[in-house]
This record gives sequence, C-alpha cells and structure tokens, in this order.
Amino acid sequence: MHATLLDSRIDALSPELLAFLGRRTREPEELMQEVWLKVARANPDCPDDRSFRAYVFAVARRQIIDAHRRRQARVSLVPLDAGVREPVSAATPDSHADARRMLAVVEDTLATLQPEVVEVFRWRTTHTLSFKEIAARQGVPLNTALGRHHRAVKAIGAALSQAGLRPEESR
Amino acid sequence: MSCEHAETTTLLWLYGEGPEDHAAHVAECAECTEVSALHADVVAVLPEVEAVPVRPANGSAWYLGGGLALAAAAVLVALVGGRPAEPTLDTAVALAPATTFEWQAPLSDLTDELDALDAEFADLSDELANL
Ligand SMILES: [Zn+2]
Repeated sequence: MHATLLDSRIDALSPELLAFLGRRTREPEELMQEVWLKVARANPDCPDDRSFRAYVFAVARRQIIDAHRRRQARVSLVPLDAGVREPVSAATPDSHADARRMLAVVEDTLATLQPEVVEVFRWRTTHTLSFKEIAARQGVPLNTALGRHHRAVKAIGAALSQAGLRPEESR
Repeated sequence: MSCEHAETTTLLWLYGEGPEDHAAHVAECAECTEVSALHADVVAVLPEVEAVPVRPANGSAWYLGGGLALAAAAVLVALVGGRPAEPTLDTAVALAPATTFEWQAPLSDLTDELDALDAEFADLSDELANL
C-alpha cells in the first residue's frame, strides 16, 4: 500500500479505533499505537477502505488479548516512585461495582463448567503457558485444549451479554 | 462452524501462537472475526495484574505486580527471612487498592509461580547487594 494512502486510512480510522479500544482497555492510546505499528509493518494488501478497516480491527482485537497477556506475564518489581500503578481491570467499567459484577459473572460461569475446561481457561489467561504447553499438561491434543478454552470463553461471553456487561458488540 | 480455522489457527493467532499473516484471513472471514471479537471482549473484562506495595529491607518502596500479588507478597515477606521486611502482609493487604480482586489460579500452579518469583527475588537481592 502506498505510504500516503496508508496514512490517510490511518487518519480516517483513528477516532473509531480509539473509541473501540477505549471501551475495552484503560490504555487505548498506547494500544492504538501498537495496532498502527503492526498494520504499518504488515502493510496489508487491502483493495478498499472496508477491507482495511476489517484488517485493522482484527489486529486491534489481537492486541487487546496480547496486552492482557503481557501484563499477566509480568511479575515485576516496579519502583513506587515511578508512580506506576496497574489498573484493576482491563475493561473500563463505569464503576467498581460494574467491575465486580463482571468478575462475578466470570466466576459464576466458570463454576458451571467442567474442571478441565476451567483449567485451560485459567492457565491461558493468568499464566504464560501456551496452548501447546497446556495440552501437554492435560495430556490431550492441542485442538482439545483450544476447544476447551473456546468453550469457556463462549460461555462467559454469553453470560456477559446476558448481564449487559459485554463491551458494545458494535464496533 | 464453517471455517476450519475458527477454533484452531485463529485462536492460536489471537493468543500470539499462530502465524502473523493469519490476520489477513481473520479480516476476511466473518466467523473468525466473530471468534476474535468474543475472545477480545472476554479477555478485556478479566481482572488485570494486581499491584501491592511491598517494601524491601532497604526501605525503598516497590509495587509487586502479578496475578497472585497478595500471595506473592506473603511469600516475599517470608523470603526476606531474617531481615525485617515492611510492610508486613497485614499492611500489604491494607495498602492494596480497595478494588483489588482475587483471581486465584489453581493452587497447584502456585508453586511454579512462586519458584519464578523466588528466582526473580534472588536476582534482585544480588543486584541490591552489588549496589
Ligand atoms: Zn476463518
């Protein structure tokens, strides 16, 4: 893609992307920079604005997960003086009460699932274990571990939607 | 499920374990886009790294970040052994943000986590000793 075309597409899409990320993370600007960096590096062959937009949002969703994963993987000692303080939730709930409700929905849903399904979900979202490592730990094929994780996410997503707590599904 | 990648390659790609160029497929595939949206939205509401202030023996204050911060804080306090470590676990808990959520991993995993923490703490101790 020509650099000027890429620039103009990025400019046009930035407000929408920022709003999208702002509903899902507490560091939307930082994440948006990461998305643009990825997109610029990949320089995808998108024939029109619509396909470019689809590509950008695909990358954005992956970055949301990646950002969560990076934070979970980091057991670090950060100088207090630096003023660094991690947000409690990756989402931007209107209130702490909402955040608590979200967590309650997640926990309640997990409580209804099979232990091996919950295990994959917890391992993948709170640890640095890869799906391959999880599959090895559980002694199952990779696709089984992936399927278990997806099942947990589907159940939680449905419960969040039902409770009106899933970030707006429209972009 | 009509796309063979939706619950395989797309999941691996989403969690950083698949080929980078799979983004192009996801962008063009409605089913993979839906799967991506679902996973991103669920991960977005999960509790993040907790932060608990821990004060090592040299008196400088630190935040200990980690999913098991409270448990880790307890272990850190224990790890410093003979040296006085403050705040104690009680104060660490008291200083924890009011909205800190418990997100407990299975206990069996705590050992791995704590081993890693132990190693990291040993490195830090060495660094401090060399200052
Ligand atoms: Zn697909």
